[in-house]
Amino acid sequence: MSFPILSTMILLPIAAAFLTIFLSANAARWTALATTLALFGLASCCGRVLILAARSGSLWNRRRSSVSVSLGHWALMASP
Amino acid sequence: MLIVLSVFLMPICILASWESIQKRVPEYMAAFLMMEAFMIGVFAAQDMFLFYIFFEAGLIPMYLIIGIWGGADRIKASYKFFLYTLIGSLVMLVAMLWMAREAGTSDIPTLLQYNFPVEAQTWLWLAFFASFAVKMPMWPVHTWLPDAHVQAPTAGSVILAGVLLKMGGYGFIRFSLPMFPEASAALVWVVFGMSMVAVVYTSLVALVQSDMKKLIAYSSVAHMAFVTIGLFAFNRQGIEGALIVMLAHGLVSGALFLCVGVIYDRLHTREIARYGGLANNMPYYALFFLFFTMASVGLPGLANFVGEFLALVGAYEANSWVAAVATLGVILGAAYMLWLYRRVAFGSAAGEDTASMKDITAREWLTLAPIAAATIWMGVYPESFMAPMRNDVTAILARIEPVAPHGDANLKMGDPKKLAKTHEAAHGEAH
Repeated sequence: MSFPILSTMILLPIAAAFLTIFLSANAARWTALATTLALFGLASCCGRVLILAARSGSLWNRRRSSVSVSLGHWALMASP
Repeated sequence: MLIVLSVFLMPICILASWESIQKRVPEYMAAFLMMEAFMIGVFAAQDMFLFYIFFEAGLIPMYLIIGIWGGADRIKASYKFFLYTLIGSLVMLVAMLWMAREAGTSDIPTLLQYNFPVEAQTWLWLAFFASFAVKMPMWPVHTWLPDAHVQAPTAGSVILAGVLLKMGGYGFIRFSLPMFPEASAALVWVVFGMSMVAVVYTSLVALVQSDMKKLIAYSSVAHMAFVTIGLFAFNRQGIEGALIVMLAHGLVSGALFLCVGVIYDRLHTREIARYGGLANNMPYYALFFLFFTMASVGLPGLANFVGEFLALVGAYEANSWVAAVATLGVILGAAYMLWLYRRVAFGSAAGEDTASMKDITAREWLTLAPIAAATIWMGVYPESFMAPMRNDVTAILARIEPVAPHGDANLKMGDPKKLAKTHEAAHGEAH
């Protein structure tokens, strides 16, 4: 799995947080709800990846391989 | 699993704030979204300094949530929360800098294989302990938590109890135990001592509370003491139990704070004496509140039971006195939670305004029902939650088991053949 799912899960709420500041109260509520639900969906996918990784014994020894934006060599999710 | 817990609770928090927050709504939602990003970052970081950045960054949105949208004493509570957690974390930062210099890397998987000198481990362990003990929180550095909970808005309390406290437990299992195993074994008495005091003292304090949120906050300190007892039992049952308690407490205490929020939105008070007889006019609310009260006291078939049972089994193997005191905490827990429920849901209403309160709305159903479903799931089939952790626990045990202190119970769980042989030998000798 090469999609940096955890990096996305960190960047998405930050982007949504900046967006909500410029919205009306009701739009901010709906944006926050949609973002958090999307993150829950992503986490469900990530949860499956983690379970598979755990069963294959590679979870604890995950290595950093995927990099998102400018986090340098600090990757947040690696291929199981 | 803690990432899943964070993202599971967050939409519920947004829904819980839908009507109760009317001031600066966009900023409030932004603070929660930033909080979510930082929480995921803490649990996902594979680098020590990245962990630290997220760990500290999480303080800022919570400080704002309490300080802007909190109760009357919100400024004092938010300062207390911020200062307690920041001071502990600064000591941890110094330790991290030393570790990165010593090991030549800040990569967590590499550090997990690195053997720090035994004499240095004690100082490093204490430095990390200063941060994680405040975050958990452990007695006697728990005093920021009741204030923060009482002043925080409902959703803030849910995230505080549901996820932020778990960062301390996560820190112990991620750093303290596997990176400093010798120091963990040598200083286990500190953890056990503080946890035993926490279980009994905070349970007794909870018994005399008149504020619902404060009562649940003190119960959180007692529950988190189960986590530390389980983690430092140095065996599989204890660690797995502690992890399950962390998840279960995240769900159940979050739900209990939501239950308090439901009636606070109607009557604008958290005084227990102002309620009573809610089972008459709010039957569905009373049902949910009863369900989460039962889950909190560790009713079999619900989430907390699994974690507390495993943690107690692990603790008994490590030290039977610790297990005995922790069991006393379970009994006291049942006492204060059931007493809270009796005063709120049964008896006669304290006033006409209490008697005329309407039952939960569809939005409130949406916040409570998913947590109830997850609580049953965890209680009935905990394997779904334990399987993903098993390899992690095995890796930690590989680091800590060689230095594990000897237990006083002389009990090895899960070995019935030996027991049968001992029984046969004893029987034979008798004849």
